[in-house]
Amino acid sequence: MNDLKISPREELENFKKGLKKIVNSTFFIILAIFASYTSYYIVDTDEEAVVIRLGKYYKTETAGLHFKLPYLDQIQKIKKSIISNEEFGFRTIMIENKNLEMPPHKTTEKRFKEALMLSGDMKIVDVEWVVQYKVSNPFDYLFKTKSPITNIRAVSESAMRRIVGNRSFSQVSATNREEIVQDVQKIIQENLDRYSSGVQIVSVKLQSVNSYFSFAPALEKQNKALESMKKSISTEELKI
Amino acid sequence: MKKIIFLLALFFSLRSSYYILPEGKLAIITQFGRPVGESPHYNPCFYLKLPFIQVVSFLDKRILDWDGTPKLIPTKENENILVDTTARWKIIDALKYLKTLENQDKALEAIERVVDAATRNVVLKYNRIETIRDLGDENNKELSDVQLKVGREKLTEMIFEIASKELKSEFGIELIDVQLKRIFFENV
Repeated sequence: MNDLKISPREELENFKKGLKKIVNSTFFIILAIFASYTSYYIVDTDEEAVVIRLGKYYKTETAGLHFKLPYLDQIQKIKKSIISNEEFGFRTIMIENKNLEMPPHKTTEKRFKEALMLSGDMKIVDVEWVVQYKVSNPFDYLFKTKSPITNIRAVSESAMRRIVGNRSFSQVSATNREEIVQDVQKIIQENLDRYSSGVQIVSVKLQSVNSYFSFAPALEKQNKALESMKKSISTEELKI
Repeated sequence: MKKIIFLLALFFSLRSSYYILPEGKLAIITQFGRPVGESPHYNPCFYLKLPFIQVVSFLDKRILDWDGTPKLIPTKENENILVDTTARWKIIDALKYLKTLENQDKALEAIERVVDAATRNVVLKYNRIETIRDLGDENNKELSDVQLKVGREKLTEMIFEIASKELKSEFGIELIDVQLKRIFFENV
């Protein structure tokens, strides 16, 4: 019976001690969990991870499970094997067909400022092309230039204009397509290497080459058709 | 309570006595507003500094872009053409850059001023065809009608040389390149 006669003060002391123990141990457990969570990272198959230790480049890791020092190492992942497109002279846009339950379909929108250029014999040419690129060096891609994509766009436009400017209209539109593409790709790559932007140009594709004046009426027709289609969709929506 | 205050003070003074300079950046250490020591630092690393008195500020060390607005320029045969230029640049003398420009917006304005002036001065002196076509395509039979003097590539180089000299000496900016992006008639 004596055991039960603990004074309230003692009881409180005991309770405090117990609480302290619990708080201490949970604190360490939380710390341990946190440390272990921040000490590993997973790199996917299409990625590469750049490891920055105390601000300085440390290494680049490929796919798999990797360990890092918490707080000291910083990881930046880059999708390296993915090929991206940049479109010039047009943009691919999606038009949704909600009420018909059809998948959205793609259409292109003209960008005249990019597409129109002058050939060597002073004719207006309408060129649409696509530049495909991928990251070749993740570290350079992240830390050598601020906006690699802006650079790709600027250099591609300049390169295509230069190559088209060196040829007559008939040379651009009929023959030498392969040669044009190769020359443009070479110029873009040379420039990007000079900036060490860590980008590799995979291919340049000429989508279309037209004389501007022959193309203009066709475009108008296409725009009208697009508009009437949009109208018809919206009226159908009203009916439902 | 005293213990807590002491620990907090210790924490903040420790935190304030070092900095990490990350990749792609450069650091300038100022003491009461004046740059000190071996600053600016360009190497990414862990650095020590005096707590509270010395303040660190970072600038971008990477290659940056400038995209010009198209400008109407008369050529030698007095035909107006629209010229659109872009340039790549980076900071090489951080102290001069900060003294003369303060921030990146001012820097872009300065580049606009210098590159546009250089472009105008060069394009004025030549016929329109020189901004379109490169020199050295003499074996192209379809284009042998006009004889070029300099050509597009050389023209770009001339613009680059004038502009890069001025930007380097005045603002601590290194111009990486200038590209003539679009050249076009004014009325289209």
